[in-house]
Amino acid sequence: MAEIAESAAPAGLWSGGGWKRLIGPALRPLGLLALCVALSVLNENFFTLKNIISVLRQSTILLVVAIGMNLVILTAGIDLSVGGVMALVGCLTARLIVGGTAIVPAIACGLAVGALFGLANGALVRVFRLPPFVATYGMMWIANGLAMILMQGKIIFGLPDPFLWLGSGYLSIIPIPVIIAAIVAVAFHFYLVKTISGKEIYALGANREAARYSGINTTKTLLLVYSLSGLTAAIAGIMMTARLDAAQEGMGEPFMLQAIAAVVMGGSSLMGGEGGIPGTVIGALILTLVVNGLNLMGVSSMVHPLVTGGVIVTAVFFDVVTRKWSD
Amino acid sequence: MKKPANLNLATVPPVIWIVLALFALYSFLASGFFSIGNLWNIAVQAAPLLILAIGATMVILTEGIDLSCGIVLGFAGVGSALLVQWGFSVWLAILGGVLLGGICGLINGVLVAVFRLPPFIATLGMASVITGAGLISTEGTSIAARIEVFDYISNGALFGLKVPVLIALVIFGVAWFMMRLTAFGRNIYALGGNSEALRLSGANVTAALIQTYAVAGLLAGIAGILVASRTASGHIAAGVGWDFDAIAATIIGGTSFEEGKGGIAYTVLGVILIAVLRNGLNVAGVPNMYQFALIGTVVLGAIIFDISVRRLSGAEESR
Repeated sequence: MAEIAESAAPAGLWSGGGWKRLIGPALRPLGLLALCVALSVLNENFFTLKNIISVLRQSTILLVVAIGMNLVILTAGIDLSVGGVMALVGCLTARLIVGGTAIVPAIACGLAVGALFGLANGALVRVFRLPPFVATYGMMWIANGLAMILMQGKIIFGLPDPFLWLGSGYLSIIPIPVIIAAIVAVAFHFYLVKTISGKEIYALGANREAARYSGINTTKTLLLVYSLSGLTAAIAGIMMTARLDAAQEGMGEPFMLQAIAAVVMGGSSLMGGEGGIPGTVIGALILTLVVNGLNLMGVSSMVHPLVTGGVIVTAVFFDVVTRKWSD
Repeated sequence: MKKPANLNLATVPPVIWIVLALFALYSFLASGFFSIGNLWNIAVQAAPLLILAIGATMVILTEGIDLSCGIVLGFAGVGSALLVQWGFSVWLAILGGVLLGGICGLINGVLVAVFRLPPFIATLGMASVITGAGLISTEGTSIAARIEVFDYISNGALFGLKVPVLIALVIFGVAWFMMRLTAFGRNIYALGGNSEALRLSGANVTAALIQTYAVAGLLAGIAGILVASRTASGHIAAGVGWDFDAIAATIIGGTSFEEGKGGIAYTVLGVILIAVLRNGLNVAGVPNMYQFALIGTVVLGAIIFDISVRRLSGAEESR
């Protein structure tokens, strides 16, 4: 097997020794640490409790989307619709609240729409056998289009305080979004690691045929995974609307690529079956720190897409390379 | 390695029925849809999409995908508009825009073929990088380029054909020739069907893959010039959403992601479907903001319909 992999490799660039395998798992936390040290040296305002809490708060929306994305990627799929779903759910919830609906039902409605979009993604992928990136890319345009129709080109703002609390409130010194993200992360981590259903997701991603023969209901699992991704995108969309006190079509756009980047940087393989939530937390933190660092250095936000694109290409490249090492 | 079968009545692709149904529906609902003037409109609107979709089809035949082609289209327009503003001659500006597209495609190809990134990640990442580059070079504004040549490209006529349509037809002809009769085309079909066999036959698989993405980039560049000449300006977001249309046209046309089946002749049908769909909505006076969701739904529906029909007929054939 190793020989085949070797001959398939374009060059012998990355046929490495055993030490790389030892360093591999520690690479990401070390990278995060190095980034923190570098930023503290570059900017004295970085290593303050206030800025650290602020970075944590900034990372929460990305982290929540990335957690759902992580589940999908574990099954060797992808969900390109998350940005569209975030925008749609944010706009829908905001419109319902402004239109006089009580906050809790409005949020519940938003979450349900997100999960339904995810379910539709799952059905397109599993039942109609569309490649995941085609199915979810199409759903992204539909979600964006629906958000456009909802908003009629306007922006909604001036949402009630109890709703805004979800995005900018504090419990003593801990921001509410951090608590929400922590709950989501812990819940999904235990779901993946401790429950049978979670383990089935790994099995499905590692080898779909083997999973089917071992009696796993692959259709049910895939539908569930895509629905959960829609649900987390919906949570993130609501958090974002509450944070900005505004809803606008297209507001989720940057998150699709950033979420994939966070997951891949966190060590989950796009081939499925490998990785998990702790890595994704680190990935989301690294990505947020990069953006935070750019802002601290006063770099224009027009550079952000360039950086995100560069980061994702590099991260996936390293994913491909590290898998060559372990072969 | 499978060549596309010749079209005959017994194997009319489902997309033709959908197009005919749309024609009938629109002629009935939107007065002014079925007129010579409007049919020309459809053809002119379809021209850049056809060019873009030819590239998308080539990439999809290799079991890849190019999600950056819409952004590359806008970037090429920005590039040529900037060159015009900087005082370069028009033809150099056009050439520069097209080459810019080609370079983006080349990088896509290297990321996919040499660095082994999954195509959708490589091209999404590139789309993000190019968006950033375009925003920085234009400050997010639209770059005006009011020049006669652009006016001619978008409105002129030659041999009784509108220039954009003529350009699209010429490119289709060249691409068809390349796909059918040259090693370039054979390699593309082989890459999708059986890249291992292609490797063993001594062809340079990496180079063939890079070429495919580079050509797709060049085609996106040409489409970008057409779009820029229509609006007499370059804007980085000019092609947002076009990649979905191009991919949808390819899939609806019947080119599949597996086994290198299909071809650019089929994609023409998909392009016609999408062009008719959009034009009819415009003529019927449906506001632009309703069109995204509607077209997305129809396109996904058409893809599902197409796949289901194919699977049913495929199941019968294999019996």
